[in-house]
Parts: sequence; C-alpha cells; structure tokens
Amino acid sequence: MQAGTLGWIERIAPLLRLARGPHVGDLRLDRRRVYILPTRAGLLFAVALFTMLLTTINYGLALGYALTFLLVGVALVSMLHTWRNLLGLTLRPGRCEPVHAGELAELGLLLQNAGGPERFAIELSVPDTAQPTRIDVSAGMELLVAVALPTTKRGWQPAPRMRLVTTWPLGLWRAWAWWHPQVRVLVLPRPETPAVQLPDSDTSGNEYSGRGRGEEDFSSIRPFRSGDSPRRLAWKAMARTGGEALLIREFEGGGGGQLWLDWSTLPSGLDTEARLSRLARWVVDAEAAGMQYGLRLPSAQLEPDCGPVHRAACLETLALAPG
Amino acid sequence: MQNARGQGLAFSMRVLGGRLGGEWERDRRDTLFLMGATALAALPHLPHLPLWCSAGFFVLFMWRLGLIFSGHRLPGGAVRLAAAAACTAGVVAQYDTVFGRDAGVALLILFLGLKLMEMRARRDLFVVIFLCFFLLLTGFFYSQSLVAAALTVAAVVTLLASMLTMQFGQREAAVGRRFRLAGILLLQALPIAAALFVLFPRISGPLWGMPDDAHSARTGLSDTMSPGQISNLARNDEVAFRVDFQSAAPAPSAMYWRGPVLGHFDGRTWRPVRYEVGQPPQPSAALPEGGNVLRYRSTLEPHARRWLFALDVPVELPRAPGLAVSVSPEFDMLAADAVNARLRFAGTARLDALIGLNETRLSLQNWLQLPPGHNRRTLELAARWRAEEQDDGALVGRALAMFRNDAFRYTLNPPLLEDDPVDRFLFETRAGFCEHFSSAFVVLMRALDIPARVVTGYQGAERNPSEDYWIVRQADAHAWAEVWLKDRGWVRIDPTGAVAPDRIERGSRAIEGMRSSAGAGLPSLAEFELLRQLRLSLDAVTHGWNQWVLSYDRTRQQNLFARLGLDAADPREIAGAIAGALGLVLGAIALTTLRPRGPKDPVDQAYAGFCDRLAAIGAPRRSDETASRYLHRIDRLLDPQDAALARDIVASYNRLRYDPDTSTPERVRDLRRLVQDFKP
Repeated sequence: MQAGTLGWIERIAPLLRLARGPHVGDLRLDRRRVYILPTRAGLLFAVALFTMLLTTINYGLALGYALTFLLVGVALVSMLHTWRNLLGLTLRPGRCEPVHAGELAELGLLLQNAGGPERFAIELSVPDTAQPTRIDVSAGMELLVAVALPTTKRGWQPAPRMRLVTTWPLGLWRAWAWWHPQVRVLVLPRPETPAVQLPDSDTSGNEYSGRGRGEEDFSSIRPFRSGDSPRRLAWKAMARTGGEALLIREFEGGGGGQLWLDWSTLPSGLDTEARLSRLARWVVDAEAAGMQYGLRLPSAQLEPDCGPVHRAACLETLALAPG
Repeated sequence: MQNARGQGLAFSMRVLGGRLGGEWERDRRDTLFLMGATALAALPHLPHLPLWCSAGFFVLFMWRLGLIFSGHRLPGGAVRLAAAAACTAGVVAQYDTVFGRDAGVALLILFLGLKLMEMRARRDLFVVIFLCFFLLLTGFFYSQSLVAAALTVAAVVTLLASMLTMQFGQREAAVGRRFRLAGILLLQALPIAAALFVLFPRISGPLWGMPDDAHSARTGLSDTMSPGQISNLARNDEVAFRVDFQSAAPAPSAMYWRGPVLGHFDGRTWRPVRYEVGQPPQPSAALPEGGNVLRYRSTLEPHARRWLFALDVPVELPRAPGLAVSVSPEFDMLAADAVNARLRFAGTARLDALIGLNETRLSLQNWLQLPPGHNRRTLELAARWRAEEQDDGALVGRALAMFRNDAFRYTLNPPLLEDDPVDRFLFETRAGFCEHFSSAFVVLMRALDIPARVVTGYQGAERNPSEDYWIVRQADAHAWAEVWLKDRGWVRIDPTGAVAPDRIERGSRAIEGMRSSAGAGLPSLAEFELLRQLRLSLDAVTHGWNQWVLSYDRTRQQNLFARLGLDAADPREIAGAIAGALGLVLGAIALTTLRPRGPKDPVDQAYAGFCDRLAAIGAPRRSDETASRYLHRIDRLLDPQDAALARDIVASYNRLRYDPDTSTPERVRDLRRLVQDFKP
C-alpha cells in the first residue's frame, strides 16, 4: 500500500517542486514543508462514507445523517491531526563517522519536539533503502536517531534526501515532509581483502632505511597530545615527574620500524582504486601494529607518524585522492 | 508461542487491564481490540435478526477469538468459500432474496463474521472497521432512539480507538489513552457534523425504488380487523403519536383518534367497504352553532400507512408544509403517501360536529352488508327486537343496555371463538376486547337494519405534565362503532364503554393490571406511580429528541434557511454556506489544536516566561544552555537590579527542578511572581 501510493507521489513531486536543495542547519517543519494526501484506506473510507450517505438519503434516516456527518467530521479532523504530527518538528543533523566503502554509515539525527503534543508513529526513511526507522517523540523531548546509509564509493557522500512520513492517528491521511540536510559522510576506500603483507620498512628506500628494525630505542619524551596512542604513555617518566601530566614516548624507529606506504612502489598492474584499496589496508594494519608510517601519493605526502589522528588523515587523503 | 494457549486467560486479563504490553505480537493484540469493537457494532442488531443469523455470527466471532488466543492459522480459502455460500443460502431461504433491507442486514452481519476469518493484512482490518460503521448505520433502520444513538456513539469511539491502535509505531499508548484520543477526535468532529447535519440539503423521498420491506418493522393499526389484532397492540407501549393542544384539551375520554373505517364483514374479518351500490357521498361535516374548535399539533410516528389519526371529528384538512391530505367518504384523513417518516401536522376538530347527513338510502345500503348464513342467533334476536320496537335510537339504547347488564366482561385474553364468532360472543362467552364488542354491536345493528360500521383508531391519551403534551400509545388502539341515525348522521357508539367504562374514562392505563401476568409480583401502586413518572420524564426527552433531531427534514430545513436568509433553491448558495461553515469550523479547530503548546508544568511555564522576556530583548536561550550557563551569559547584559532578580529566578528554578524536597506550592508561586516582576 505504502509503496504504491508514494510511488506516484514520487513521480509528480518534481512537478510540484516538492524537491528542494539541501538544507543547512536546523530545519523546522513549517506549513510549507508538510504535505498531506489521503491514503488508500482514506479513499476507501470516502467510498464507504458516500455509500452510507446514499443509504441514509434513500431511507431518510435522521441519525444516519448524524452518523455519516460525524464520520466525515472525524476524517477531516484527523487530517489536521496527521498534519500536526509532523508540523513544528525540528530536525538537526548530527555527526557522521567516516566508514569504509561497503559499510553502513550511521548518520545521527536529532529530532526536537518543542511545544508540540506527543508525536506517535513517524517513519523516517531514505528512499530506495530497506527499513524505515520508526520514531515516537514525547512532548517537549528530543530524540536522537541514527539512519543507516549504505556506502559504495570512496569520497564525500552527501546525506540523501530523507522522508518523514506519518499516517497517525487514523491511517486515513498520509503527511510527509522531505529533509535534505547539508551534511556529508566521508567514505574511505575499502581495505583490500585478503590482506597483503605490509611492505618491508627497509625496502621503502628512504633516508631512515639504515635504522635497525625493532630497536625500540626512544629518542625523547614529549607531552601528551590528543590522538596519541595510550600504549605509548611513558609511565616511568610520569612516575618520576609526579604523574601530573601525561607524557608520551617518542620513538625514532617506531614499534615495527618506520614505514613508507608508497604509491609508486605498488605493482604496475593495479589500477587506481586497487592501489588506494591496498594502501588503505596497509594504513589500517600498520596502525594496528603500532608502527610509524608515512604515506606517499602522487598528489600528497604525509610524514611518518602514528595514532588515530594520523590514521584518519591518511585514510582521508586516500579517500579524496583524485581518481 | 507454545504456551500461549495455556496462558490465554492471563494474556486477556493483561490486555483488558490496559497495559497491552507483553508477549503477544502486535497484530494479535490489534486484532483482539478490533474484535471488541466489532462486537459492540453487531450487538444492537441481535434482537431483530433471525436467531440462526445471530448464532452464525456468534459462532464465527468465537471461532476467530479462539484463533487469536490459540495462535492457530486462519481457515483456508475453501472453508471460507463454503461458509460464504452457506450464509448466502441461509439468507435466501429466510427472505427469498439477498436484496432488501432485512436480508441485506442479515447478509452484512454474516459477511462481517466471515471477513473476520480472513483478517490478516492491515487493509482487511480497515475493511472490517468500515463494514462495522455501515452496520451501525443499518441499525437506524430499526431504532433511532436515544439509546440506539448512545450505543452507536460507544461503538464509534471503540472503532476509532482500534483504528488508532493499528497506527502505533514503536510506542503504544495505554488503552485508556487510546479511548481518550478517539474521544477527542469525536468531540472535535462534532461541530463539523452539526454544521453538515443542518446545512446538507434534505431530499424528500427515496433515491431509488425501495424494497418492499423498507418499512416493515412498523407497528400500528392495519386496514383489517380480526379478533386478536388490536388486543396484540394493547400490550405494546410504543408511542403512536404525540399531541400538543393549542386550545384547551378535551377530556381524555372524549379523545377518539379516527383511523380506518371498516364496513365489509365476512364473518370473521372486517375490511374496508366496497361501495357495491350507489355513490359514496361527498364528505361533509355540519357544525352546530357556538361549538368549540379544538386546535392541536400532532407528531405522528411512522406507521407505513396513510391514516393521520385526526381527532374526531376533524373539521378542516390537517395541514403540514408539503403534505397533501385527502379525506375519504368515511371521513378518514389520508396522507398522499404512506407515512414513513415522523410527521408533524396541525389539525382542528369539533367534538360536536355531525357527519354523514348527506348519505342517501342507496349509499347507506353499503353499510348493511352481512355475511350470509352466519350468526343465526343474532339475526333471530334482531328480528325479535325489531318486532317490539320501531325507533332506531331506542334500539341502539337497548343493545347498549344489553352489554351493560348481561354480565359481559372486558378482557385482554378472550376465549378463542371458532365459527360464528358474533353468536358465540353474544350468547356464550360474553368476554372480549373492544374489537369483539364493536364487531358484535355492528352486526347486531345491521341485523336490525340500522346502517352501522366499525371505526378503528386510538382512544384516550396520557398527559405528560413535564412538557404539557399528550402521548397516545399503541396500547390506546381501540375499535368502536358508528350507526347512522336520521337527522344525526353517523353517531359514534362505543359499546366497550358500556362494559368497561374505566377503559374509556381513564384510558388504557386502567387495564394496566390486566396486561401483566396475573399475580406474578405486581408492583405496588406507589411503585407503579413512580415508574409512570419516570417513563413520562423519559418520554419528554424522547419527544425533544424527535422534535429537534429526528424530525429535521426538508421542510424544517427550508424554514431555517429562510430564517438565515439563504435561498434553498439555489444549490450554489447552499454549497457556499456548507463550504463556509466547514472552513470556519475547521479553522477554529486548527487554531486551537495546532498552536504550539507551552509546557504544562508550572515551573517550566514560569521558566519559559523568563526566557521569553529575555528573548524579547535579544538574548534568547540557546537550546544547549542550562539555566545557570544562560544566566552567566546574560548577566552582564542586564542592569544590576534586573540581574539580581534574574539570579533569584534561576536559583529558585534550579532548586525547584533539582531538589524535589523543596518543591512546595508556595515556592512555585514565588517563582511565578518573580518572573512576573522581571521586566528587563
């Protein structure tokens, strides 16, 4: 029923200019954004009411008129209620963590129901995806929902146009509103599977190559910066200084040696996406191994480092590398 | 699911207890709710349906209920098809048709039962609900009383609540809340319904040819009279019509409401006269000078016949807007069409008017017919009397004296009379009801060669003191006689009055005792009076309901339109009025319900007022700001006095919000006052 009715709505929507460009910031659903049409059940109800009216007229039933018109009244009033169920709802886009292509991105959305009644049975859906999210927002409350977005291609993926639909309270009317928030998801390259072994740090052929692997001798101690791995906390040094500040051991050679992940050293048979995919796998693996790694692409170069921030920067560089 | 059967009762208790949570899947709970609504919608029909029909619905209903509790699958298509065929066959066997009113209702209720059997998708639930709405409408074929209306409203609320129930997403409201929401919808729909009820153009007459049984469920007098017919009505408390007198009301004993006049007797049944000889005279009434004209308005319940039951003797044609009335040669007031809707007309009457002065010898022959070869003993008696007495008037008196003196008995349960009922009544059983008396009297008069006829109608009325109108019930149905005397025309003679003067003096209530089964715990007189009072008060409400709701028809609508300055003949004007009224009502509802509502809690309200005041000077609260942080931000924007007040407000608000122990009504009031004083 749903698919059918929305199907033709979808078709005429562009004609009615129902589609608008992406919306920046909070969106309060006002009168011009909430559309309403009868559902199939609503049309059936109209037919039933018409039959009731004909019967009433034919048999001259005074109470028949009363009942029929009461139900007409209920149908009309329920239109207001259906409309109101979306009207005045404030939508705020939230954060969206980067994901690898093929994974589901979780777009956080905040729905605020300030100064409205309790709103029941709203469905938030992304056209052409599977399950809608069912939402109920109590009066004066806020609700955080996560919409799962399928991803396929690396790069910036804009948030899709979403639809809030409700048939509350009687299912005779369907009110809907479109929301196209101006947010985007960073989709990282899919890490290559099965994993290819990390390149030797020696083979990377850079100025650090003379250093022995696994030497573990750290060169200095510096204060903790956000993004540093807790595994590299300098516990002894901190104990000596009284433990007031977090200190980090800085390695010359890194946990597993210093590693350059270099575009140019990859086999020439690989195309761009495959290269990026392999580099992404190496970044993930190198970080997991606690190594210091740098990234070298034709378009960019990141100096060797480690930690979540570095990892994120590397993956972002890969994601946005020109194809 | 496995132990669902064993725990069925526990589940149902929980469901009925209002929590509707629990282990059942949604659609099972929704279906159970809908089943309750269906039962409410079907209930008013059970009394008038054939027993097998009610039983059939009951079986289907219980079957489906069992399936809900057991969780078994619905029956297959073959079973349902067979059941549908059986239902249709049953209806055809009962009514000979599937069309028409009664057959249609029977079929509707059975198919509703069958639809319950294939209720799986959401669409099926909607179909069941809409069928229920239609079923409720058909209930008005049989009764449009206040009780019927109240039952219907209860069923509609439940049906709306079950529609709500189907719509819930993740969260489901408690059962009580569903009913409240449905009630709100209904209340908001009320003004729309009222506007449409008043403005929607009424059409007189049916849209298409109505089946014959459209008005079959009416009770009332018919155009024949055979023993037992009227005594059946005597047990019927239904109202026949109600009368307001504009002039002083006559005594109830003088109220004869004239109905069918019967003249052809076949030995058992009286029928309308056939006028085999001569022309019937033009109906005319002679009015003695100086008499009182009685004016009244009568509200006649539909009885599917043409008689208007005017007060005897009518001197003008009854008047009602749009009503065509004719008068028969027997002085019956007849509407042009059968009275199938409640009818209100104005009538005039004179108790002393004379009718039938223009009858001729030939036309009077029609009123002397007797079935040949019947009632020999009566004929012999008549011959004997005629030999002794020549004056017709004296013979009438003699017959009445016989009824009065010869141990005749008035009873609602007369012995059964076989052949020659008049003979057996006059000479053997001597116990009967008004129809026996009038019938025997007319036969005797005709045997005496005096033109005579049976008049049926109603006699007497009960006054409702609370609203000052008179009620005539079916129980007041009566039969009397008219004899034609020279220079006096048709003279009413009521032989029943000779036997049971109480029946005439005090009306049908005088025989109340007779009507209840003898001796079986009769209520005391005081209780009786109390019951009577109660019944009269209820009837006053019903009268108002009839007047203002049920009788709102084309005429009344046109009167109202005229008063509103609307041209009823102009469809555009009416459509405009309807659209305008609907727009107005919907607008009003939208204004009151769509406006964003502020918080209900007084503390939140006060705080919202505080924020509003600050927003007005350009410092609105950000949604992520706590009260303290907000205060911190705006503190320097305010002059010292206001800032101090703002600090007090925020401190008070925080205390009330986060330290519930200190929350007393006084403190809340203090906060409200502080906010009122705060005018940055």
